[in-house]
Amino acid sequence: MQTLTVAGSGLLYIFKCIGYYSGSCFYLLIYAAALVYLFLKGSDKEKDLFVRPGIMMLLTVYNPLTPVLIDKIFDINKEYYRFLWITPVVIILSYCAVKIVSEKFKGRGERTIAVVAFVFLLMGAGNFVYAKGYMATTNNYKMPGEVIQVAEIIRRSSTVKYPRALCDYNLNMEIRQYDASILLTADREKYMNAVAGNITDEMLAAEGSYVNRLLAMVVQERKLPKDILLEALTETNTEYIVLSKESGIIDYLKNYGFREVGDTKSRVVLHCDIEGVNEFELADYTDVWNAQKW
Amino acid sequence: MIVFFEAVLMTCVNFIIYFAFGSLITSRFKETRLSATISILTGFFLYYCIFDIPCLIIMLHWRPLSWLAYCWGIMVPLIVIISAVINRKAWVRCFSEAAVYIRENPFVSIAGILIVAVQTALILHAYEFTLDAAYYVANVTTSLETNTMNIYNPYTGDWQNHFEMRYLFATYPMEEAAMCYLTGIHPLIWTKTIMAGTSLILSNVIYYRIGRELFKDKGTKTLLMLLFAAVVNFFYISTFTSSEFLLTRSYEGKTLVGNIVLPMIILLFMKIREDIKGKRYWWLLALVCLSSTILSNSSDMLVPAAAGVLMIPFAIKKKSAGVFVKYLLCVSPCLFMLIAYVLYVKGVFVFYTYPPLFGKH
Repeated sequence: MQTLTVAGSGLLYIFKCIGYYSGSCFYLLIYAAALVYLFLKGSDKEKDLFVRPGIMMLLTVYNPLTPVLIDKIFDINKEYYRFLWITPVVIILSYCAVKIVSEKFKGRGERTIAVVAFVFLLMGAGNFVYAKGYMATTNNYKMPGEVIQVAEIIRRSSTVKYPRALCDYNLNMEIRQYDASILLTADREKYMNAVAGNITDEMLAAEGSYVNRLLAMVVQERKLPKDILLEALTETNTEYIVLSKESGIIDYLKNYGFREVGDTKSRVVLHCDIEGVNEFELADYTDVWNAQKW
Repeated sequence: MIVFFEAVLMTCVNFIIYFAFGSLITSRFKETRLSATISILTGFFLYYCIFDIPCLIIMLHWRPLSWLAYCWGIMVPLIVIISAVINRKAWVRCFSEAAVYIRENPFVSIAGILIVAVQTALILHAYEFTLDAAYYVANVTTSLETNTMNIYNPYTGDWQNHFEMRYLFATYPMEEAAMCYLTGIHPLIWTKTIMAGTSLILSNVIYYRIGRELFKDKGTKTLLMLLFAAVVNFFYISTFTSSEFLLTRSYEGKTLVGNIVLPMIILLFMKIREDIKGKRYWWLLALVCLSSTILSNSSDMLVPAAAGVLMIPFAIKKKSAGVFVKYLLCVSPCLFMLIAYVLYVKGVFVFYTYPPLFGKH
């Protein structure tokens, strides 16, 4: 819900939020129907456990005023959907399914058919987690093999303990999960901003906008003048650039002093010896510890 | 294959630890026999509450992760041994009762295990690309690489001059880092396989307990509920649902809040409703609320709201101010953390990663 804001939607925010939250699933509707069923037919225990809390949720979590009020205290735009987790959809739907099967159907045969029918009903009302295909992991790390290969290429070719790299989007998000000794030039927010096409000419012209310049080069394939490129690499201490083999800036980078130190099935790892790069060192806490009494 | 056995072994070790921790509390329940599942659930929450103490002390003194790992590596076996000694009779009785139940209900037991095993196998064998792993998993890898805690930015590896408040008190990833340090297991295997499996099984244990509460211990109905819950979880997918988090982002603390803490609050509410004057389940609720702040800072808002929608109508129905007061006391750790976070956002205070005295700010 990156684009949904309370300020932009006002009292409609909650309805839009529910829309995003549900996606193509009809479970919230079935949940509401289950609550009505329990309200009409349920025992006192069921009303205590599910119906009264359901009404309470309607008055609070699902109240259009609630996100507006919370947003006045702190930014809730991207996180309000988590309040919808309070709705015990999984518990109520599964409970009501069992209740109906066991109370409305007699005999093993009838109940078996009812169970199968409910399973199909629930499947039809939802969206399967692997609807777009099941992608099995190829290694123990649950990482694409190329992430591991690129990390090993960088480690093998680097002469420093903590080399810094700028990678293509997916690799940038995954490589430090595997090997945190590889530092990255761009953090997640800056990278997402670049991928969303939000880097403007004004931002690139701004003083100290080194990371954005490099991101514009990698993401938008903007070819920076040599002095601007070298300045950005030096200021960010970037020695490695990992790109897709289809990237249009590989030759451009090679012309400006980068050399290929390895490749994988779809990526190429480029390295450049940059003068003036500061070698990264971990902060030394010895003085702090010595000053402590333990 | 070795990694597979390592993962299965460590998942079992997790459950043994939770059971040992939990039975320190549940064996004190005099009227009821020790329940393996309730002990495991209680132990899970107690484990993180206890972990938070050495973690915060060591982290806020800028000491290395290795200190925490060794400290925790001593504390956990010690607590397990103490629990085994104190509760040995209750453990033996609990295991023999469980064995009898499995012998008498082989279909329900095997089918229940199969439902959970199929889900676990499916999600553990799947590859998922999720942006948040760039923070949560990389935080564990970074802490391990630098032998520090929350001091370096997981996204880039750069030094941060202050602790990020959202993650400072939610020390769940530091427990993962400490366990990786102790066992030598790679953080990716620990977070995306061992803890993913552990959390999925735990969430099913809660559904099982809720089913038993709702269906008065009738095994077949409870089993059916487990089946339907699994179907709903696998089909309630839209990027934002707690089911999606459970199946694709199980390494995140907020997944545990959505799929373990919130259902656990419902389970405890069922118990409290039946025994309104008793104290034990209120204490358990307080433990769950406190522990939830350690799992994820999302619980600071979610847990008071979730407990509130259950407790407030109940307090009104019973015309009991006591229920309302107890509810407020239980969720007070979450409210305290929420206020602290708001003050941090407003710039009132900050925890530095280096003492001001040393002039690094």
